[in-house]
Amino acid sequence: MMKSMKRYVSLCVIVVMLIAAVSGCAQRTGGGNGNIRIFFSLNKMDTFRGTLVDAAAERAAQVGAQFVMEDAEGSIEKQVEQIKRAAAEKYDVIICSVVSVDTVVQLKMCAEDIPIVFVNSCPDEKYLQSGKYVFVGSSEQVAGEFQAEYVLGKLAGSQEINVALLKGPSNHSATKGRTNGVKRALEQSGKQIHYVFEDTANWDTEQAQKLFELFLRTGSAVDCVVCNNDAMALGVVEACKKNGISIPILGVDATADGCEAIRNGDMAFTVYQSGSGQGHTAVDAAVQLAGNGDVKELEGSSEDGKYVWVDFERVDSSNVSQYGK
Amino acid sequence: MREERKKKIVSIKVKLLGIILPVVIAIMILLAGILYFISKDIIKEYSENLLTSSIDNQTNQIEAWLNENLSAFGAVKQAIEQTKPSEQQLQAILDSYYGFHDNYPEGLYIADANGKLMAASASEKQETDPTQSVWYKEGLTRWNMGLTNAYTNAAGNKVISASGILDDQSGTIKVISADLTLERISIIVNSYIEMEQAQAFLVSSTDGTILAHQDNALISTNLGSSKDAFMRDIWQKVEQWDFDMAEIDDNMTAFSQINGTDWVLVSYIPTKIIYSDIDSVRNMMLVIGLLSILLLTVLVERVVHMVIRPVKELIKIITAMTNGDFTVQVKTGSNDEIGVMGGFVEQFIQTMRQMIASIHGVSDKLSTQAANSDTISREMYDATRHQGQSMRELNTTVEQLSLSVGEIAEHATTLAMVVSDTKDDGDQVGGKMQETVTVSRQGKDDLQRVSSAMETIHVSMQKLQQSIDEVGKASVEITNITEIIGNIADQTSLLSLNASIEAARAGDAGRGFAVVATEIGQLANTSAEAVHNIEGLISQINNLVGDTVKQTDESVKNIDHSSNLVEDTLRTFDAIFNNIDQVSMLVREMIQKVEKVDEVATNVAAISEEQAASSEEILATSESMVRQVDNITGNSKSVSTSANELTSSAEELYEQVARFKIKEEV
Repeated sequence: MMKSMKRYVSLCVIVVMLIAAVSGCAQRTGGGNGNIRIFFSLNKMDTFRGTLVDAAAERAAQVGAQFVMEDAEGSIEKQVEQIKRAAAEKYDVIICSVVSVDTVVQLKMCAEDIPIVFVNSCPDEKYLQSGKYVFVGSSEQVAGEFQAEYVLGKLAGSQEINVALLKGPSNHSATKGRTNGVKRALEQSGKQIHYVFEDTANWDTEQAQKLFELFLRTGSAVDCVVCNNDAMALGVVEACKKNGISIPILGVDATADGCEAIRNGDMAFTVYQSGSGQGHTAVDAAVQLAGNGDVKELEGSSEDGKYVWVDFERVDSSNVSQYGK
Repeated sequence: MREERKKKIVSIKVKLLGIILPVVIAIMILLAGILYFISKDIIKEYSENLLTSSIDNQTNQIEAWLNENLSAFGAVKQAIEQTKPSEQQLQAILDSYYGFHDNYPEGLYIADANGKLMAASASEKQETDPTQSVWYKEGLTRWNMGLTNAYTNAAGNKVISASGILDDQSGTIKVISADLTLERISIIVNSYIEMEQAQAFLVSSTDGTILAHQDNALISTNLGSSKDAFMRDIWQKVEQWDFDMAEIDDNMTAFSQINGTDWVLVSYIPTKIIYSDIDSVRNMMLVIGLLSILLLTVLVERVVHMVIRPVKELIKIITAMTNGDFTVQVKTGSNDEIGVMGGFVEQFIQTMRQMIASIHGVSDKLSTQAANSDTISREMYDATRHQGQSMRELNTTVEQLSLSVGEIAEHATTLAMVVSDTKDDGDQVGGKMQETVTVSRQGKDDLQRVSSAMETIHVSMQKLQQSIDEVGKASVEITNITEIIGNIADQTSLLSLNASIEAARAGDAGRGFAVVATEIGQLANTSAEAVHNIEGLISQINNLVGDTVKQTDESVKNIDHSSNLVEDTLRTFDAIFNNIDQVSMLVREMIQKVEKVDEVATNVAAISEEQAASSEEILATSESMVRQVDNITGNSKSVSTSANELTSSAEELYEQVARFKIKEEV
């Protein structure tokens, strides 16, 4: 009786000590993150993504995680190869801005069991999974809604609005989200909305300029130009300058050039997608996933634990001084 | 009794079936219920996934089909823009596409801002003002070719056009377009439905125009103004840009936006179709369950039947045994528990046979012995009865004796009491006597004291006489003295007279002395007078003393007389005292004698009481003896009865045992 009692007590003590030890270890990992290794596969470097990567690297340094970034330079093959390598080198978590959202399934397979935080381009919801595959970014639809809000405010007097819409590549998630956002918000205003021009300019300034010049030649009336990004808006700005036209031109991203254009009065409005905020949050989410947690604790997370939304910010002439530097 | 028992018998078969069947049925129902609900969930989820995948696939197919056509058009358009062909060359190009592909049999056609329409030579396409046509107006809004909404063209056909600005740098805005028939698109839409019995249609999200539908009549009608409530509900959802899967009016409905267009593909399947699968699963389970129960019933019935067959054999044997037939034989065929049981029953029968045989012998012996004991017990009964009678007589005698002794004891006791009273009286008399003796002794003592007082008085008197005599003598002496004093006084007076004469002769000188002599003379006179007085007094005293003496003499005489009287009394007292003393002595002696009588009487009483007690005891003893004898008589009677019973039992036993057959009757 006494013997078994002693055995029981000692067993309890061992269990308690084990729990203490394990939780102690867990806390150390959580606090220092010394063991977390993050691999960042970038689709292609540009200004915005540069900001994102810099913020991510800074945040990783803050939490003490190892951070490696590689640029796939727009190549699906390169990106797949990078992810395979990251899996082979047993990284704890991967942050990935996919070259094409169509490759998500393939990338998940290549990553084997490693959790992935997607940034910049949003994969289809069905490919995301709480605690394993999450997306950190800004809700593209909100950007479109902000644009529509500006247009409706600017042209509050008119019942019919002629809108020219320049879109990104049709399979890009941002294109769909932003376009849906702006169209939906405009339609729900109850006004007559005419899309006098609606085409894709593939995020590109020159293409946008060319297309808009072409549009201007049709002689159709236009009240405003809504672009899915600043680069295309700047193309429109050039086209308008050439043709001596002055109408509100709206973009998204609040790039340095975009902000400059707003300062000069060439562009009317843009939406600041916080690259630094996304980079910062992406690393936070990555740390959570590496620790077998989910992202539900993070600010801006969706209820299903698949998304962490980073806020957009409206930029116009009134507050442009704070952006684009 | 046996009849009743037979009625209560429920066969093992029925019991087993009664237990197993309800349990099996309950389990089946439970299992079927659980399976039904689980499969319902699974089928619902599966159906949702299937519908999702179906609509995704359709979307992909439609997008691919559209892109295929658009890129074909785009290629032509790009070629024209790059090569900047002459009008003839352009016509040739357009001609070459006429009938080139059955998706767009009319091929491509171009209109410019001036209203000039160019189409394939074989085409019958004609428009009065192409710039007002839907395809032209929508084409103006893009450079990359895109699709228009469904519309009715100049020829009255329902079409969708792919159109876009043709930028040939000519300075005139041109729009290039190609028509896709809605029928074609409907075929495409409906061809790629993966899910059986699901339906799909294509609708424009901007104005609710139905672009493709199985029912051609619905094409290019408006969803929002449809007669069908389900369609209107769908439009409500599409209008809200809510493209999540939902159950609308008992239809599982999925939505998918077609990339690059404002089109929404809607696919739906009535939930009753989905659940019909579940119903068929349920029915199947019901049938399987019923069949299983039936099979199980038959199986259990057969198995139990086989198992309990040897038991039935055994029952026959046991029934025979119950009826006393131990001549039966057990066939121990099987090697299971029942076989073993049969073996043991066989052994039991063997044992029983031997046992019954030996019981036969024993019961015979028992019968004889019982008869013997019966006789003996009868004799014993008689003997004890006699004894009882004698005992009762003895008892009566002892009773009489006891009564006599009792009387004696009573008398002795009375005597003892009387004596005791007498003794008490004697004691009292003794006490009185003693008091009398004491009192008379006191009286004697008092008288003695009086006598001695008299003596004392006598002595005192004598002393008094002596004293008085001495007083007489003293007074005589005093008289003598006083006479001397008188003489002296007379002489003194003579002397003083002489002195005073002499002093008077001496004259003055003797005056003083004359005074003294006078004084002395006076003194002598006074003394003579005093002596005279004293003489008088003494003579008085002498007279008194003489009286006293006389009186004293008389007193002494009286006292002496008294003394004599007292002594007489004393003597009388003494005589009384002695008499009393003697009486007292006599009384004491009498008391002592009475005491002795008392003792004796007491003893006699005690003895006769003891005697009475003893005779009581004897009586009690003899009574209990009578009782015991009675008991013995009773017992011997019951022994006799028992012996009788034993005899009848032995007879019965014999009869019973005789019922068992252990040998085949010949």
